[in-house]
Amino acid sequence: MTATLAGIDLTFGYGGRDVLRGATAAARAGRVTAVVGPSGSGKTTLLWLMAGLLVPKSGRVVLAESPDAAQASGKPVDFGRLRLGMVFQSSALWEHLTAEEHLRLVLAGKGLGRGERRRRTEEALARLNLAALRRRRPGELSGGERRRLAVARAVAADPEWLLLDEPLVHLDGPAREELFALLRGLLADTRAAQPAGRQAGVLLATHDAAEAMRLADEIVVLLDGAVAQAGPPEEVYRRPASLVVARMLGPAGELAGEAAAGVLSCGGRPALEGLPPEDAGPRRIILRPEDVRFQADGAGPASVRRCEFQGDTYLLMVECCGSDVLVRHPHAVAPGATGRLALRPASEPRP
Amino acid sequence: MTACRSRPQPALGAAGLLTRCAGGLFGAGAEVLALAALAPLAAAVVGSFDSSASGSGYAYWWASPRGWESLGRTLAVAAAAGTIALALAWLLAASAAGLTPRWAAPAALAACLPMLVPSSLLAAAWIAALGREGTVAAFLRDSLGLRLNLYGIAGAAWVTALRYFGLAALLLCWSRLRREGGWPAARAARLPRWAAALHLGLRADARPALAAWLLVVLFSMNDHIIPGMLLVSTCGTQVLIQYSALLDPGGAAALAAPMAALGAGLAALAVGAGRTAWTDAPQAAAAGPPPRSLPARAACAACAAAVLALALAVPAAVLAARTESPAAVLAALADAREQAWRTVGVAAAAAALAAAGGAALAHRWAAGRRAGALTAAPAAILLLAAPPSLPGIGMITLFQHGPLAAARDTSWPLVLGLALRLLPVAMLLLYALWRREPAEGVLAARVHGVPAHLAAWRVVWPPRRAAVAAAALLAAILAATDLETAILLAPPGGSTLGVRLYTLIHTAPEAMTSALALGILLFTAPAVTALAALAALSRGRKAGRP
Repeated sequence: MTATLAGIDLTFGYGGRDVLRGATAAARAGRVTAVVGPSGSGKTTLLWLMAGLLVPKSGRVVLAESPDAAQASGKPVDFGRLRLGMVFQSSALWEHLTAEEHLRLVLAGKGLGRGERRRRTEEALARLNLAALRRRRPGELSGGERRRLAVARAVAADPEWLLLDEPLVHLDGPAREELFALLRGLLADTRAAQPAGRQAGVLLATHDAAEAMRLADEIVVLLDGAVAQAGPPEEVYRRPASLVVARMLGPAGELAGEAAAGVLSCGGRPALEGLPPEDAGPRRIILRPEDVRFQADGAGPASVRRCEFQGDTYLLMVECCGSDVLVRHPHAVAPGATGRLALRPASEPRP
Repeated sequence: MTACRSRPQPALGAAGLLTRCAGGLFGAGAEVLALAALAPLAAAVVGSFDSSASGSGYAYWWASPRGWESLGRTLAVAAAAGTIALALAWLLAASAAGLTPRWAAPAALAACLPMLVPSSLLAAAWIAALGREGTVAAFLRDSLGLRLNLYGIAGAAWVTALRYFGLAALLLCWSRLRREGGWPAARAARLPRWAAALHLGLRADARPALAAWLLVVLFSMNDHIIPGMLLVSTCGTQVLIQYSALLDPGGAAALAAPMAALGAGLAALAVGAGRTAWTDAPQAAAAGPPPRSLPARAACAACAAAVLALALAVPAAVLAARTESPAAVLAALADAREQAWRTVGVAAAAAALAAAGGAALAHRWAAGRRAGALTAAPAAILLLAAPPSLPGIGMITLFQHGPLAAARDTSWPLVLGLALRLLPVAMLLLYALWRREPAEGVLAARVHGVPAHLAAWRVVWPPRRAAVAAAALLAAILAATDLETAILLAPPGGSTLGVRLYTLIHTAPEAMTSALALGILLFTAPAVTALAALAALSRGRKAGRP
């Protein structure tokens, strides 16, 4: 059984510049893995390498029972036999074919009978709400409909591995919400067993961390061509490996100082309270806005520089010990107010 | 022949072995074709060192003043023609852009029409208009006392410029269309009109204009018909090459080979000069064209119409005036029935070969560009840069001996000669259309396991077939109106319409020549109309896309 499609230590470059430097990522059957990174971090290149569309400078793409086994004894992929579905960032639709013809073409040559091909075409069209648009060419479809067609083409042949490259990019408003809901349903289906008793593995590349955290079981943060951190979304979000990783997934700040007796001090003044009592010595603490509380006392080392209304809460930018810390606060605070920062206890509800 | 640079080729699995083999064979075939197409050029150049009739051809032409004087006259005509053509083209491009961008492309394409008729027809028409007994010349002499002399460098340059100025107009209009979205920024910045005209108009036009000038110079330099008909006693290099090609092919090749090198240099300079004009990303015209007043638009329309009338209507009107009656046109065509059918057959065969070969080379070139691989395909441009008589001389050499000698007196040398001459035209047209074609469509087919033959037939071919048809049609029109190659390679008793017209110009009454010239225009018109319809259809399909 091959439950993992893994790219091991992949390196690839364009014009002498490496865009991917020893990156390792894996798609696992029945799970959704999201590759998150800013533009130019190598997400698309990683997906293209995993799809066999590019040959890596070094590293290999293998099939194995598990990610650990892939490192040690993975079998090189025969891309000609791999049952793959892919949504390209540009959609890569065939402009001269209708929506229905797109699906029929990808089902051709798969050894399916005419009736089965028709059934799967109908099923994919219905699943992506494209049944009424079956006779339309891509040029006659809206942006959201084009993306839905690209997804329908990718899933029509019940692929074992589904690669989604920024499926929601360039979409906004209702079109984005509609496709997001469809994708969430689709990915839930892929986690369930396929007719052949096999779960599909999904690799999703996106620059949108919120989208990744909502859809994925596992996140791989790709920064400057290398994997900065990988793990379940909550773990990566709560315990980021660096401030850059933390900021990739959401707003964050960092505070450095000396920890002792549950307090982080800088310059001899207490700056952050509520640390675990066992913490001692020099510390750099990455702080999420919702994990920090600002207590105005007119004397503390923290000074509010800006206060932004966010709808349900206020976001304070607080300068403390030379660092900027973001704090989610229930009410407005005037810039210039001073006070102390404290970590919210895990039991305390977040604003 | 391909050398991979840093960007690797897409990977294939074992199941894609057949696809890889087919792709490899196709690629190798395209490389072989690109090199084989240069065989006649190579044969002619090799033959130039073995000039039995006149001793050393190079010494005969280039060790004495005769070759250099001839070259000087050729360059003088070409440079003057380039300058006149550039002025007309700039006027047309500026006027058409002043109307609305929608008119720029049709105006530039209309300016290219003189390139689609035999050059002898154009020369004959202008001789009928401005020659010693020309209609317009007589009117000017009688009413204004103005005496014009078309027979000389200036006259030859004028007619040559009117034949090739469409090329310059096409480049300038294309360049202007690509930056039409820049005007709102200039208005918002409150740039003075003179500064906008200088920095955003003239300076932006400079490089495409230089490229256009170089291309017109190249084509004028390689045209021997018009200078031959107008310079009479002061023949240019191409005229000498053409006249001596059949008597002393080696000597003619010795005269033509340096011209080919010069032509290749001019073509390279033109590509270098115009590179930014056709590789820069176009500025989106979100705001549409700049608003203009009605009088300004009327002035632009009048200016564009005047330029096009000068190039198209004057020759056609003069030919019509010189023709005795419509029946004479039909009679002239009936007399030339045999040549007409032969022309159609030869042109169709040559166009099919040129389009097929051009498609293979363009596909190879575009794919190589995407993969960062070197390919020999662009070398075929040498066939366009060299004097047309040089590959013709090479074909004579190749069909003189060996296994090809059996086909020497058939139409095959002419068909192949025309196909080779038009191969770069088809290749360049198709490459221009395909080079920015995204590769993802084909890759999507591969990723989703679409069988290779289905991907080729259902994914690759459909969006390309209109372009290939247009290239074939253009090649057919150019082959049907060719004279330079046909003069050298037509079999005995197998002349074409162009050759018949050229012969009649020297031997028959002017009314008969004009009637046949008009007939050829009518003969070409349906094909040109079909070409325009094909272009409009293709544009309409693209416009439907988001």
